Amino acid sequence: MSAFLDRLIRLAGGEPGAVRPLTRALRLNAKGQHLLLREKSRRQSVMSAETVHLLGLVLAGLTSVVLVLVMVMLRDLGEPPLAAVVLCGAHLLFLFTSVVGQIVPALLCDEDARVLGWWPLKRRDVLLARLATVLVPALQTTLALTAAPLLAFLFTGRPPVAAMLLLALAVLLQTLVVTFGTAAFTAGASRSLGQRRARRLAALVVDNNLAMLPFLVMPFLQPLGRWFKLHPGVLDWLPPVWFAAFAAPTGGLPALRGVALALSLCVIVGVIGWRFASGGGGSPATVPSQVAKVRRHPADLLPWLLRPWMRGREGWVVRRLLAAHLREDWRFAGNLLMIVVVDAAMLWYATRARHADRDVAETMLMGGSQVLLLLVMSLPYLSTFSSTPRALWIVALADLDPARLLAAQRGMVRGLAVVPVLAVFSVRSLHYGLGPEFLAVALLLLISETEVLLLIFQWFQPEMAFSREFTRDQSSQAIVRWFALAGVMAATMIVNLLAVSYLPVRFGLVAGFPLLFWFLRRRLARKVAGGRLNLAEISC
Amino acid sequence: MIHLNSLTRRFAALTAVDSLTAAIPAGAITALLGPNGAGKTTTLNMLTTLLDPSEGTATVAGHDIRTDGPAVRRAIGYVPEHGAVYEGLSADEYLDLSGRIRGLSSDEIHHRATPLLDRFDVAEARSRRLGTFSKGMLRKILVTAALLHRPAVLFLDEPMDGLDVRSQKELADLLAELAAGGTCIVYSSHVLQQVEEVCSRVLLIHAGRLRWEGSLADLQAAHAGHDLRDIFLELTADGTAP
Repeated sequence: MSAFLDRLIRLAGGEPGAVRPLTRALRLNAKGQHLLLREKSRRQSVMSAETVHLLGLVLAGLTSVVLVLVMVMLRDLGEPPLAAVVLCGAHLLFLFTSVVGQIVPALLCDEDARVLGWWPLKRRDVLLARLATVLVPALQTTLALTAAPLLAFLFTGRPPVAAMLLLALAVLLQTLVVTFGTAAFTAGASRSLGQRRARRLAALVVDNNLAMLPFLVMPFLQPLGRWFKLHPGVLDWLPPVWFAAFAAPTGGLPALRGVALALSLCVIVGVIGWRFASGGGGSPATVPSQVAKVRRHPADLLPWLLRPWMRGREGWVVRRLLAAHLREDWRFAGNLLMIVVVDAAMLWYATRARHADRDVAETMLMGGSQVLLLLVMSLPYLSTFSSTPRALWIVALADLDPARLLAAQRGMVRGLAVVPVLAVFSVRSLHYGLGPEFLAVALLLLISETEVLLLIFQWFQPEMAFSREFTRDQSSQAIVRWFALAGVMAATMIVNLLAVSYLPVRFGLVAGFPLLFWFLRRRLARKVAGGRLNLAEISC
Repeated sequence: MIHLNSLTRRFAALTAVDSLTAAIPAGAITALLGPNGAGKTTTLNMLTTLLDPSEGTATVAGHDIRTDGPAVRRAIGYVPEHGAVYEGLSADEYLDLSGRIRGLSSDEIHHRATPLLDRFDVAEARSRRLGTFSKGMLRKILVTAALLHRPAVLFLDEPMDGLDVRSQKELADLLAELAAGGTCIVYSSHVLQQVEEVCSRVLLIHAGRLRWEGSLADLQAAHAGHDLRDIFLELTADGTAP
């Protein structure tokens, strides 16, 4: 086995004596990083990358049950078999999401070059070691997702055994193409863009933001489906369809064309892409890109627009911090953009009043409150993070009022999320012909609820904006927090449901929320008086 | 041991290193000096193959940095100023990786690392993860890793930064022993007092150009016995002819 692996490494242009110890070190480092993160975490609630992967495998296993049903239900449809197309499509989606999170940020950040740029290694050795760390999880995901559907295809394929074996080969090839292709494309991009731009790109995708993109397509699924029905030829140009063509050995010329295209893709990725990405025997180091001159930035406009909600010295400080993070902290900016865009899309989707049997006002109120709830849960949490929290030492030394700093943070969330969402809500309401009375009550209810939720959030997490460091494994921590906040979310949704269903409850909440808001703000101000809002953790 | 031949590096309109020609001999500790932005780090990056030259070339231990990068990297040890490491690895695991990449066996790595770790007083921390190390401790591990394969050429960028007084003395003694054994050592630092104590030769650059090359004694003799700080200020004053 060892000799076989060495031969494979040599075939890919690497040196086994370098690739094998480096692969082992990268695995040990991933485990060690998680242990370090656990030691630093106050709540010890950090999920390891292995646990997240295990959860992914469980999800893949559950999805495979659905895919088995699909294989049986679609057994006689399509050429290539529609069941095989669905399997290859689902496999591509699952694998891509998993591989991107594991390998893309590390390659774009050029982590390895900073550690061993001057070591006697070739860029190809480093890339192979990174690939080795991701190939095994990718194969495990493939196995969890496709084993059961392939068994089902054993009985439903045409001819049964041969079609299943060829489809299994296609799935394996697709795994290799996705893994090698992602690594090759990322490494190539990192080399072409230079360090600075590549790291910014990594910051945008490091928190699995790419996995959120399919949600944006959701509102367009039906029109997209109709379009594909009108233009079926377009489907022939999608790679999962090429790989699915393996499952139609008796499919004639169209199937052969699909197989030929799939094999060509394998060759392009394996030979040309690999050469381009690894760049022969060059050093693992990359060329630094030039630093642009400091000048006015379009992102500076946003903090300026937030002035009405961020007043005083404390407001000015948080606005300056926001401007700096929108300019340079692309991890913050990327996450912010993703949250706002996804939630705006959800609002659009949730407030479609196309069912005649449902009250438009109820739909609007329920959709608006759900989206606002999501925003209020995610944005204050995000705004406490920064890639450079140590730069806050200057704020730590300043004489700033903690309660006012928290008020400025609430103002930031209000300006960034609540106001735009309510604007969309208002436009949509007027479009549906809902009267100003409804709008006034609805807006009052939503605004009050948002403010109360923000205060509750700050009560549990009274932290200065941008004072916590983004960790390497942010996504797993976010998962933990999501689980923890599910209770608050459920309780608020029940309140919203009652408000939507019963008018007296709605008016009761409108009357009661300001009182609750006043009470909570007073309690929070007392709680944080004389405190340091997490700034004590920042070493000067 | 190291020959720089019209070595040049440009970043867009800025010429960071401008036609640098010099020779750095084996068996000596040569200080690479210069004010901020003089081109010291760019020069080190080119000599360690981290950066390609725009023009000119250099040979390190007989290997051309432009055409024979892998051979250069096999011949050198390097302690960078901001040494990134895999923080999740323990010191032992990191040293094992460093040694194995250079073809050493586990036994060789252990036998070579232990005396160095003992000497720097970090042997007890060898099983701890590097993410928990202080700046000085990390520097000691980086020095140990750079010396494991007994390199012919050793590059050090601010090596004393973060080290306590005892460790500074140990490192200075170690460098003297290595130089006496024939190792070519390039020592980049801003701390002139340390340079006077540790180095025997000086390569002084300013605005990417060579201002002085030779022994420290000759440099001081040529400037009427002034201390190194005054000489440095004189040679790096704007408008001084190279």
